[in-house]
Amino acid sequence: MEITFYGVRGTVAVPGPETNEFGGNTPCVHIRTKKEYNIIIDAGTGICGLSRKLLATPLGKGQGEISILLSHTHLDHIQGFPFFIPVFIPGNRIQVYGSHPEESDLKTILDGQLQASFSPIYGMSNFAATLDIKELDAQPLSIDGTTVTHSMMPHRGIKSTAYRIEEDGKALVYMSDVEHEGGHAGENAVQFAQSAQILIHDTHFTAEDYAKSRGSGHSSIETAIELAKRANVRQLVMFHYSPDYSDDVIREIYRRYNDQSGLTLIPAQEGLKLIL
Amino acid sequence: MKVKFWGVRGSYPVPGISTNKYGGNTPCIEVRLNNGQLIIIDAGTGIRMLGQELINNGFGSGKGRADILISHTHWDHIQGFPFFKPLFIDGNQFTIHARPSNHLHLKEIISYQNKDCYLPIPFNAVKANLDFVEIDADQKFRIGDAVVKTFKLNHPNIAIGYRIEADGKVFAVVSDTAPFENVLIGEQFIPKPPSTLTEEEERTLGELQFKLNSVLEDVDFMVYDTFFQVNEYVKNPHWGHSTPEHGIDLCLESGVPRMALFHHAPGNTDEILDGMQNYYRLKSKETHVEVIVAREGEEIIL
Repeated sequence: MEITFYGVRGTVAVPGPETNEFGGNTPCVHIRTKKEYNIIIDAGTGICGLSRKLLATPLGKGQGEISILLSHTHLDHIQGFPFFIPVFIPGNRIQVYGSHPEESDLKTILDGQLQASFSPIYGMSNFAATLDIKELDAQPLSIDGTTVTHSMMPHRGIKSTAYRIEEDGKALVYMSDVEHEGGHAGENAVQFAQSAQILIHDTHFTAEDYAKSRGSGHSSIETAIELAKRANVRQLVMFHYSPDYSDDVIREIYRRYNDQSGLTLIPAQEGLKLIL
Repeated sequence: MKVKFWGVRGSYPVPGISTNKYGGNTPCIEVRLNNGQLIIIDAGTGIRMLGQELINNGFGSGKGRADILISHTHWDHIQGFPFFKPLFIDGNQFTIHARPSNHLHLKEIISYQNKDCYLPIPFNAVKANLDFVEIDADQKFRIGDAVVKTFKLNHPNIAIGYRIEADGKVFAVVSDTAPFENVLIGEQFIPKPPSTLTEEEERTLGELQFKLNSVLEDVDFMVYDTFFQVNEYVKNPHWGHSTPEHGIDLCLESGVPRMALFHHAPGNTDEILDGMQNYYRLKSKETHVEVIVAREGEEIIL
């Protein structure tokens, strides 16, 4: 599979020269499977840029199908969805997957951001594409030759969904928006990430800032490194950067931990492509 | 009076190298009176940066005070609220003026994004004192030393324009709006350009246009929704946005000498906006309406 990053920033989109290198768009990761099927993880503002690229595929002609996996419904992970052009092209089939949220159901929450007070779309029923919203159950998903499993992670009062996508015996794990209890991953998270070729993990904070922000629902770079090591993961992707961190800060974090971590640390960057 | 742009982009924030010059943040304008009084228009992502500056100027110690005028509550005009740091400091005082919609109270609308399912920041984390003032079109009220008039704009579910008079100058924000060619202010989804007008619609549009022209007479500087270029508007007149030409016509009709193009489409890169700046600068030699392209960080002194 081919993994491309379109949004790597946490919380709120941050335009400006200070974010040009790593990017200011909120989370969106694109996966193209071996059979050229498109899977998207999260629909932050990064999906707007991806959207334009996908218009060159059958999705541009209303003949495409795509699966979107949502980690959770905080706005930085769904705010790009109403601007994802393929939803306005009749004939497309858009599958959206996510866990059942505690306070409501997935469809109601996604519809909530499109209601009259907030959007001229007035609800997902006005999308022209066929939309299929599925809440995950315990069964693994099978998406065009890949197997997708999930696990629930603590994220300040709610749960976020971590995904493990396997193709040809290789695994990618996406674990964003998580604050493990006490800042250390539990056994279930370690098991879930076990021996994945690539782990994309929430590294919202430096260790110092995390110490001041416990309870915010996000992780420090050190938590992520510790988890990667315990799970025998060799490649760790830094992800969901704090909106307060400029490119200089992110580069500094990378430099500081790359050598000492003993694993391959990859700072997520808009446009970065990884092959698995 | 000073006007400073903190966010000039429409629809959604657009980070990246192609928006470095004009800016990628969604709408937020600071209006500063000569006596220091602060009025903020709209709370798109641009308000986050304004908040950081205010923290160093009285708002950091809970002594800040401002009025926030919201044109309408579509996301791009309110999404910055949760990231406006002065809200989280005890003692600061904000009065939020907006037109409620969808039968919801204004506070419900503004705090909707703070629900657990949408944000990890609960609304009760706000420490500043907030007053919510529900307004409508065709009102006139005083905020400190400023006199504010409201007017109705042609945008899905209605947007409110503001005319602010203070320090002997008049400033107006006319965004988001389409020109008054079709009625777009209903409460339903508009899937395609409306067809021919009924007599009643023509009357409604005429009345809106007349009121807008009247309220803009004697305005010194107008900020106008120019999301579209002419060829784009023709395809999407029902989206509720305008072109620079519509804005220039309005200036000529109402005698406004100076306008800023505002609410730039996400796809309008710095290169495109530079091109527009050059084109409309030349054009102003014929029209005598000075046209600037609103740019994040730019200050206009009236």
